[in-house]
Amino acid sequence: MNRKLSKEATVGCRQARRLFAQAAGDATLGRHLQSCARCAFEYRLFGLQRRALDLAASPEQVVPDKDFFRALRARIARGPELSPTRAEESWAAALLLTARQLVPAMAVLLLVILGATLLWNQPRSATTEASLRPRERVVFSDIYDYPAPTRDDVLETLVAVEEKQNGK
Amino acid sequence: MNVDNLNAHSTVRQAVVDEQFDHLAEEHAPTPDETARARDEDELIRRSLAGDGDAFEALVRRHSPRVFSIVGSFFRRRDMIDDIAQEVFAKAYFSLGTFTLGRSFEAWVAKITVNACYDHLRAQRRRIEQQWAHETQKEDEWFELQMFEVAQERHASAERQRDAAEIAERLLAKLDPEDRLVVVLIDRDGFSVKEVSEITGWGQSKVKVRAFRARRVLRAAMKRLVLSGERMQRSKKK
Repeated sequence: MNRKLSKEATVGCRQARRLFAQAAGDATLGRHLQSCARCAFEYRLFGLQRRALDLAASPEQVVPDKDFFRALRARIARGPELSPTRAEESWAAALLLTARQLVPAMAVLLLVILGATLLWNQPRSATTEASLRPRERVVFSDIYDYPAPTRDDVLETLVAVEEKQNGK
Repeated sequence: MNVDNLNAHSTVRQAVVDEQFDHLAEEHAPTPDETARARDEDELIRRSLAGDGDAFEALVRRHSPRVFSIVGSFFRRRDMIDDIAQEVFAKAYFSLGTFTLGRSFEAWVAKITVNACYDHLRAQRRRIEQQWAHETQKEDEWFELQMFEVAQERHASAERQRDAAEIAERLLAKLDPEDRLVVVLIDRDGFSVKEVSEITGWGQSKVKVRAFRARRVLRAAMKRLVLSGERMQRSKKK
């Protein structure tokens, strides 16, 4: 019985903070705040937040007066209007949208240009005849009407290449 | 801050809110009175669409307390509240053709109202940023401390209350307009996340995130104020 009573009488910090926003349970909350400095501080912050929200709002319930209805009729009679804020915002929004669309497009374009430049400047690897697929192999003598290289031509070329590599 | 005071204040406010927004709180089967009212409202809308100004004025009279109440949650100045409410009803009049008869006109007008408030909060934030851009951080802190002092005394003089209101406005202007909209509707006016989601058309997750963010910013600002106030008091004692 006593245990049950003490359970009812006290709440944990988590439960107490839930009670901040509720009107009910003030006695339980009050007891908890007296015993818990951290929750008391949090409650103080909570109260100030609410106070700030109230201070920024209208202090009393505003009700429309006669002038309101007259002014509304006049406004309606003037016809639909684009509010200045909307007009300003539509320009700003259009610019923002253009910028938003342009930025990724420019980034892609830049990447393409960079990629192409890198590829273009890459040292070309010697394409050997063996690396070509059969249908891509070209016999130069066929194109330029040169006589086919003889065995000696090939040997001479190989010697020249070797000498070049050895720095002679 | 006195627990009883704060709770009594929120109970009264909640009662006002409940009275005006109870239809949004839960979906229930309409009572005969509500059905008759809805039919009557549909008739007024039909007549307004046919160009009957008096019928539209009857609609405005019926829904103006609610519109004024929502606008009054965000703005303090009477002329501004009047102007925004006018804008809301003018918008409602010109887009009355898009309203589906048989649906809740009150909820439809509430959506227009919240959107109008959001537009004005955004415009106001830009103005405030431009206006106070030249002020230094120290001046800013001084103003906020003043607010803190006034906020602690509920029965401060009208002039001090006005100053405090201005500073509270500056403080809230730091919030993103979407965050501010959500925190005011939930924490001040007592709307649920679902209701705010319905009014604004944003998802419930977005509403929750916005509320969390706004509370975090406000809490940080208030903590700074409380700690500065305590430092000030300690230095006065010395």
